[in-house]
Formats: sequence, structure tokens, C-alpha cells
Amino acid sequence: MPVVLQASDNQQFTIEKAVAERSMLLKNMLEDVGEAGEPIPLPNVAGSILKKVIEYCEHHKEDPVPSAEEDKDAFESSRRKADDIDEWDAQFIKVGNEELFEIILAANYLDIKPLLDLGCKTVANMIKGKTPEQIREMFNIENDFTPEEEDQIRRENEWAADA
Amino acid sequence: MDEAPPVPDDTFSRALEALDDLIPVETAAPIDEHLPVEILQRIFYYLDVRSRCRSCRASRRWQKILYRTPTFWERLDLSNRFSLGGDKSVGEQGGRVDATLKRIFHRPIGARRFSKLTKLDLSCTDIDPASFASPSIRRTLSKSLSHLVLNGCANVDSGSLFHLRGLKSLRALDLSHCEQVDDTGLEVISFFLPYLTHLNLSYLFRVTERGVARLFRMSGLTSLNLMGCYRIKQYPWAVLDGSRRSVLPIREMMLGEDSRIQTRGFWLLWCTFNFDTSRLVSVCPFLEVLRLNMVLFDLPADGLEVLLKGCKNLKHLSLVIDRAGIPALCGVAQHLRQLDTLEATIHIGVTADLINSLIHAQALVKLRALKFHSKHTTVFNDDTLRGLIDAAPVLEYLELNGDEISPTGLSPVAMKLGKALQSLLVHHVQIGNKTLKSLSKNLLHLRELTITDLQQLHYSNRIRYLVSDPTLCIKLKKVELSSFRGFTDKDLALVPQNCPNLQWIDFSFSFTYPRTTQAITAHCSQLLYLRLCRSSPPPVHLLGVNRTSPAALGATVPNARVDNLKSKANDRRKSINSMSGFLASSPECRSLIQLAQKGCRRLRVMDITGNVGLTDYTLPALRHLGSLHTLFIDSCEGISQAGVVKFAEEKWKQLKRIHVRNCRNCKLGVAGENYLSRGLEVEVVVDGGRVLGRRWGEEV
Repeated sequence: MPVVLQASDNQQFTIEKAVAERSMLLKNMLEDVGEAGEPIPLPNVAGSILKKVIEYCEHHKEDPVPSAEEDKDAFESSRRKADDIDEWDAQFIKVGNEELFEIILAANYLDIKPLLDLGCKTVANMIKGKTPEQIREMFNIENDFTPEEEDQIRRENEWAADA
Repeated sequence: MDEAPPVPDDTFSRALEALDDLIPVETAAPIDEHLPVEILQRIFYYLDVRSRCRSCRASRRWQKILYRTPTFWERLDLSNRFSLGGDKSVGEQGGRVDATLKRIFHRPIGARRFSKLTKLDLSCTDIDPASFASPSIRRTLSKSLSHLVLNGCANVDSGSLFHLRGLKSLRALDLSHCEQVDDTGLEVISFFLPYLTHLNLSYLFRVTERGVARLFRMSGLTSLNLMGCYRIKQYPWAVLDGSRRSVLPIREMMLGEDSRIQTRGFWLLWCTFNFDTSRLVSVCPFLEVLRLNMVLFDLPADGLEVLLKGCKNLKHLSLVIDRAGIPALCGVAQHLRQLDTLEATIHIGVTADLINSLIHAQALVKLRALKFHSKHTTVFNDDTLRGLIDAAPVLEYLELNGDEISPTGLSPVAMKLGKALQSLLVHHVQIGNKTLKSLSKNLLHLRELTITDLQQLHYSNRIRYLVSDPTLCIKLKKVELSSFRGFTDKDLALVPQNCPNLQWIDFSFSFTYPRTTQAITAHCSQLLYLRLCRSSPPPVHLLGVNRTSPAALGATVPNARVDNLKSKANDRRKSINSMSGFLASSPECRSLIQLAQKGCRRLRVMDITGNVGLTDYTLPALRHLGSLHTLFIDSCEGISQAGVVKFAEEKWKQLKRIHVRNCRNCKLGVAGENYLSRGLEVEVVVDGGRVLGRRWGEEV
């Protein structure tokens, strides 16, 4: 039974149910409404992003679905290991910053934990090892500290400077 | 599904939005406009502490998010652990840790950041416990801090422990190596920190059993580590009198000393007489883990039985086994089989027959570690070794002397223990090529491999077979190989080449190491410790002394072998005298310079013994090793005083110590030593006079 998704720009995507069910949001919806066959509107997700998300779900449709509790444990235990990203995922997530953020937001909205984690890990990996200046430049962050504040924050955090 | 699909007539505004999106393409996408707080938090979860600290400095928003999530800051590590002690802190910031703590907790928002701090590590710093009395720090930490590590802090003394009293949640305290702490300190702890459950007092040389007896008033103490407190001559509970609490809740107790350190001949510090196990059982009936790494002289015949029957929960037992205690051990074999883990250190004087009786009594079924006080204790031949392996199937740590083991004798170790064994230490052994291959293929989990005094069987007996299979090579972290003669540099170079995860390399052979050094440069990026020793056979007079010394009891060296070594020793001496230095263009020098410039970014300790290419010309290149803080130089004739001083001057910021020994051309005067130690704060020890250096001291 195929499911039709409609993005914010009215693009429609027809996908298998198994693929749609990677998203907890869609899974719950489908359980609630049964098989209506009507397109499901996703006003928070643009078509280009939804296409990417579906690509991810297609590739991972065979993965076992983690139960909610397991998932929490896994998150706790693996939170420091941001570098265990498998090869396909790494290629998949090689996109521009803006697209990356949009994918993260879409994953959050659609409640696709593994994709959300993948996106967050990728951003974390970008932050790692960078100086504050580099971080600001990379993510277009405005430095809104006064010089005094900046100095204070620096001194509060210099204990973790590279030894 | 109540929502109607979006009305199509807003396509125009959407097109406008799409245009908007297109405009700021040149600059990077502003992360803050896209991602809400929850997602940023999720991202920060994946960061290590250092990156979190740097992220705090990016912007106010980021700083607020990070500072207001105390779960990011449950552990704080301000230790200088990796600087190997001493007062000089490695790296640029360092400085006084008291000041750092104050700075971190000074502002309320800073203190709030650490309001869930549970573990604080201040190892090897100059922390003064009075810092914990300051109101802002005490207020923040009193609710959360449960685990404090003060390992090796020189300024922690008995009186100052009083200042920890404000840490109401503290449960585990590590004071190991705080040399100033004595019995008074333990009194202070028991009075002001009575709720501690875990206490690590290892290597406190001033502590006696009187002080330890004070601790027994702490009603919650479940784990007590007294390793290396050599003043504790009697067992601590001996001084408990009957009027005190008679039963202690202790579940874990460690006493004595690790066999590796006892090997150096200090085991006499770790022995005790008339060990009263019935007293132990009545005072500590709940013991689950007991490490008794000391020689128990005059243990009553039923001592072990009383212990094993009395402590019903005992799961883990470490013992030193001496000759007299073995019949008793055989008698309690049935109880030993019910343990989870048994660790045994064999004392000198134990013979093959005695070990055999243990094997036959099936006392070693749960044996996880077998260690020896002296590497010259020969108890195994091929048959007894096979017997041991059959009797002890879960062995993870195996040490043995290979004097009487045939070139194929180690094959059963590989075949039967392959899945369990993590450390293998063999002394004075011959290993055939087939057995080497078998070791390489079957030892699935070996992390540590030590083969000292490896005997080459014939010219085609090669070390390369030991690393012929990736099974062994990928897991191996630490390797120590030595041989007085035979083998080649080309052959040895395959060890670093095939084992990319090595962190510790210790080679001692009769040749120099240009190819091995190249291989290390190219393949071992994880290396932390490197020792390259050009060995010469022991001096003849020492050979004689060695073999008859009490430590060598049980070692039988055929006379022919000694004679052979003697003549080799003389040859070697001649050849060493004839070549004192290396040309700058020699492969030895070039490979060392390459190592410093291109490889081993993480190398911390380097030990160069003998003439392997370290000269006044190559020494300055070592400044490229960014993490190097300790350098041992022994018997290098190409090193002069000027070279050492110049090197220390150039690298003084990172360098903690240089030890120079037996270097003929390097005699540092008082002035020079003062200049280095006071002026540059580099600990320099030059000891040209001592002939009995580390090399032979270790062998005894």
C-alpha cells in the first residue's frame, strides 16, 4: 500500500509504507487514520529536503526499528562517539550547511531518530577541533560578546585548552 | 489528518520566499536562524569537553545554552595525569590549578554550569584542598560531587584534608601517591568524611596500620585500597581491639604490591608473618574482592580454608604463592574452584613439582593471571605447561620462564588459550617459526606481548613470523622484545610495520635500528612510549653473580650456555669500543631525524640506550616531537654535555626530564645541572659513574 506525501511546495511523493514508517510521526498517523490513500501534507518540509529524507528512509527501510527505551540508552551510551558514521550515511550527508540544517529540522519534525542523530553528529564533527573564530565563520555566527565578556569566557574555559 | 492540504494560491508568496532563500548564498548559512535550542543541545551532546568549551566562546546564545545544561559538565578533568608527575605542568596554560578552579566557579552562572558535577579529577596538580573551603566552590560542589581524585598531589597533606568536610555528597576519594598524608590524615578523614564508601590510599608510605584502624569507624566504607603502603607490616585489622565495632562492611580490600614492582627485588617489603585469617573473617565477613599481594609467611595450615569458608561472598582472590603454602592451596582446591577469579603470583623457590601438584588438585580452574616474582623461576617444561593450560582454561595473563620449553612448547598456549589470553610474558625462550606463526594466528585478544632474551634457533628463525597474521597485529598495543644476539633490523622492522595500533614499543637487540625506526615513523602514529636499546651481553662477572644470586633460585643455566655468552660478551665489547659515533648521513641518524620530524606526534617518553644513532647532531631534531616530555639516554657516546644543554634550552617548555646515564662524553657540572633544573625547570639527572645501570638491575 503506497503512501503519498505532499511537501510545503505541493510536490508529491509516493512511497512504500515501510519507507514512510521510518518516521515515527508518519507511522503514528498511518496507524490513526488507517489507509486513507489521500496525500499527507507536510507543511514544514520543502520538496527538495523531503526528497533527501525519503532517499535516506529508502536506504534504511530494512533496519530494525529501535524501541523507545532502547533508543534512549543507545543515545546515552553513544553520545560521545560522533565518528561512527557508516559510509553510505557519510556520503548522503555531504551537503551544504543550509541543506544540512533543513534535513535536521525535517528529521526532528518527522521524528526520524537515526537521521536526526546523523545530522547532529555531522554538525558536531564540524565543530570539533575548531577555534571559536572558525566556528563563528563556519556557521555565520555573530560575535556579540563585549571584549571584556569575551576575555572572561575565555578564561573560564581555558582549562580545557589543548595540552 | 483534519488539516486541509495547503491552498494553492499562496504559490506567489512561496516563490518570493524561495527568492529570499537564494540571496544569502555567498555567506555561510547562519546556524542560529535555523536550529532551535533543543537541536543545538543535541549537537553539543556529541562534542567532547574541549570542543564544548570552545563552543562556549562562539556567541552569547551558545554560551547560554551550554552553561545552562549542567548535564554537559558532570565530569571535570583538570589533571596533569599525562605529565608523569613532577611540578612542572606540560603545555602553555597549566599554571596553578587553584586559580583555575576559582576562575571557573567565580561567577554564579559559571558555578551553575557545574551544579551537577559528580567527578572531579585533579591528579598530579598543585591543588591545595583549602580551595574547597571557598564558599562559591563549596556551595556548588556540596550537593553533587561524589568522586574526587587527588592522585599524586604534592600539596595535599593530612591537615588540609579537613577542608574537604564541606563536600557532603563525596563518596569516593582517591589520595594515592599523596606522599604527605600520614596517619593523622586518616584520622581527619574518618572524622570529617565519615560517609565515604571508596577510599584509595595506595602508595602512601607514611601510613601505618594504626591510621588504617581509625578508618574502621567509618560505617559505610566498602572499598579500601592499601596497595603499596609498605609501612603496613601487620594486617590492619590486627590492631582492632574487641571494644570497637566488630564487623566491617568492607567488600573490597587491596594489600601488598603488584608483582611487576616486586620483581625488582623489593618483595621483602611485602611480607607478613602470622597472618590471622580467622580474625579477618570475623572482622570483614562481607569481602568480595581480596587482593593479598604479599608473601604470607607462617600462614597456619588451615588459614586459607578459614578464609574461603568464612568469606562466603568472596569472588576475586589474589595471592602470592610460596613454597610452604602450596599443600594448603591444594587442600582448598574445591573452594578455589568456586571463585570467579583467582590471580596468583609465584614466589621464588617454587618448583615444578609443586606447581604440578596444584594442577593435579584442580586448584587453578579459575586462574586468570599467573605472575612470577622472579623471571628466573623455572617451573614449566612442555608437559607441565600443557597441563597448566588444560587446568586453567580462562587464563588471561600468563608469565613464564622458557628455559626448559622446547621451540614448539608454546603452541598449546596459542591453540588453547587463544580466545582468553590478553597478556603474554615469556623470558629466555626459543620459539620455532611454526610456533611463532601459530601464536600470531590464534591469539585473538592479545594486547601485550613481552619476550625477553629470545634465543634465535638458527639463521632462518625470524621474528617476522610473530607478526605474520593480522589477528594478532591489529589488537597488539604493547610489545617488548629483546635478545642478546641474532635477528636483524630488517626482520624486526616488520613488527611496527604490521602492528599499526602499538602504543608501547621496547626493543633491545644487538644491532642498530634504522629500518625499524623508519617503519615506526611510517606506521605507528599512536605510539606513546619508545625504547630502543642496543644491548650488549651482560659483563662476565655479572653473569656469574646473576646466576647464583638468591633471586635466581631455581634457574639452571647449562654451563655451555654461560661460556658461550661469555665469549660473545667479549667480542661485543671490542666492537662497541671501536665505533663510538655515527656520521650524520648514516641510516641510523637519518631514520631518527625522520622519526622526529614526520611520525609519532603523540610520543611522550623516549628511551635511547646504547649507540643507536642518537648524537649531538640528531638530538636537536627531537624537538619536533611535540608531546615528548621525558627523555632517557643511556650509554650513548655521541652525546655531549653541550648537546644536552642546548636541547633542553630549545625544548624547555614541554620538557619535564632528561636522564643521562653512562654517557662517556657527557659530564654535567654542578653549574650546568643547576642551570637546567632551576633555570629551565627541567629535571636533569646525569649519572655517569654508575656502572650497574638500569639494564642489569632489571635483569636481577
